[in-house]
Amino acid sequence: MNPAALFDALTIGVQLTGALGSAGRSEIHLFSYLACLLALYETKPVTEWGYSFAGTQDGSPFSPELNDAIDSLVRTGSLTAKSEAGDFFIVEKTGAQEHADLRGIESLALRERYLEGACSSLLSIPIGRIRMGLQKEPSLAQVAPGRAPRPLLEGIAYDELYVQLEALHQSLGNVVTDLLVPAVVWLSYLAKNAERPVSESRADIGDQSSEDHASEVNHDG
Amino acid sequence: MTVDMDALRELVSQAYVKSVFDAYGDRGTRALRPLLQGVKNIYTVVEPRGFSGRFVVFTSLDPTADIYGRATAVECLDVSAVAREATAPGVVEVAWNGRYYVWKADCDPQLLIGEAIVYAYANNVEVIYARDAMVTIPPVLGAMTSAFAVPAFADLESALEHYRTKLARECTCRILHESWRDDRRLMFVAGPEVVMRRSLYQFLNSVIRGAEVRPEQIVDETHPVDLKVTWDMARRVALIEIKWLGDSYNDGNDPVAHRDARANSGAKQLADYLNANQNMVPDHVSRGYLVIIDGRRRGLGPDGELKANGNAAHFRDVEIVFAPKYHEQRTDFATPIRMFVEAKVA
Repeated sequence: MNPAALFDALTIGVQLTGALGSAGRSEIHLFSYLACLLALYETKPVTEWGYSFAGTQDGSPFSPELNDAIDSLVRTGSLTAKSEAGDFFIVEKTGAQEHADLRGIESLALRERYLEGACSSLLSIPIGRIRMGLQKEPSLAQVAPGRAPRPLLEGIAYDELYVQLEALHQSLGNVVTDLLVPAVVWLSYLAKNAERPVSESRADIGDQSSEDHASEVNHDG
Repeated sequence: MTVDMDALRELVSQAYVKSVFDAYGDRGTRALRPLLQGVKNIYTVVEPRGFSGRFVVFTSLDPTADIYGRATAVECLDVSAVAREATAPGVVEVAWNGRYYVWKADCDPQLLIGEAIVYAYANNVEVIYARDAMVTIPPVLGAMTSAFAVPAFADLESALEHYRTKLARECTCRILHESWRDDRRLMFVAGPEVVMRRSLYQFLNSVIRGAEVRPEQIVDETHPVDLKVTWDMARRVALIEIKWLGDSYNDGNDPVAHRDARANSGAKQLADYLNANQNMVPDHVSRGYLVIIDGRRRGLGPDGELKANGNAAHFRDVEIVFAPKYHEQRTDFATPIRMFVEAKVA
């Protein structure tokens, strides 16, 4: 079992259970990917994250290691299914204790600020908009709907992502140590791009996918 | 692959998280977390639209400090108790330990900004105070309510029920509001279905968890369904068809009245979409939802005015007669959801 994935699944599970009453399987993947992007924002190499992500055919991030960790936590009773479909979970007391124990390991505890920064964006942005925004992140935006999953955070899209994160650094100006700030600003930027007509958003961020997505939306009426 | 720096800088200037960080540093954004969670919790039990005065919520920067005199407040151990005590004008402190302290009196936020992060709601405008900066929070949905009152739903049925009762009934969605000719909500504008689709899309796209909502998705050779919801990591989709009942004008300015027959044709259309979708994606479980925005008014004249014996609320409890009843014949067809919109007449 990948210890980083196990810790991340538990941490996000605890955070989302507190904020939303449960944690969805796909949400655990989503927020761990956002946390990984926040580590990149702080110039941590993607290879040091501990596990990799692929973009799925529905345009979501997915990590096999994280998925295995979720399954393992369900088997051991640390997470229990809340919904009939079994895709939403709550963290049980044993899971909370396991999480507390894992926090004692320094290498894992260091991950927590990225995970917490990612999950705290929920305080400011509705869950649907976080998902919608993240789908416009350059690496995920390259995933073509209906096509086979492909690895994220590599190739040309990775270069585009780097440009965006650099621009985010520039726009925030001073040294912002709380990752809630870049998370909220960047997600807001991406979500706003997702709402713009496709022709415009393509010109700006090179989006070649999701042609029909949100093309008729003019937000907030 | 350029980044729109102007747009990014504008967002930074509007971001209260950044203003709070600039004003107070890390300890400010730390205090922002319990404050925002507290406001969200409060709005699960209190409707801010009902406020008639300023509603102030704060969290002190120092987790141990008592900066507003808790001895004179009503202490609430959980948010349900806040529902009974909170008033506007009024003040609530969200303490770091999860408790709430409620004062039933107005408060000038400026008195608190040296020692707390302050949120205020007044006249449908929300602001966060970050020392000298006062950042207005833009609405995040078409809803005419707080940006922190946006719920999250793990299931579509609950989301649609929320839309029916909280947004459609009193037309508290700014977008849906555009579907009416005027504020009285007696008659729709021409072609209101586009506005209705946009309103429901905006709402569902923000509140549904673990799923993607897309407008106008093709499911057969000729017609797009209004909304399609696709769940992540599950072979499950929902098709949503929206129909409206009531009165409007067509492009030629002739009156148009839609009644039960329109709802029935929508049901037939949705059943056909479900069949087509089953052929297109046989490995997915599909379910159809017929949403009916009901603006029927009894005794509405061709001029769009209620006659002397008219009754705008007559159809409030008058259900639609479906024939056939697809929702009883098919397991993939949900019970149609009628959303009656109240008129605003004396």
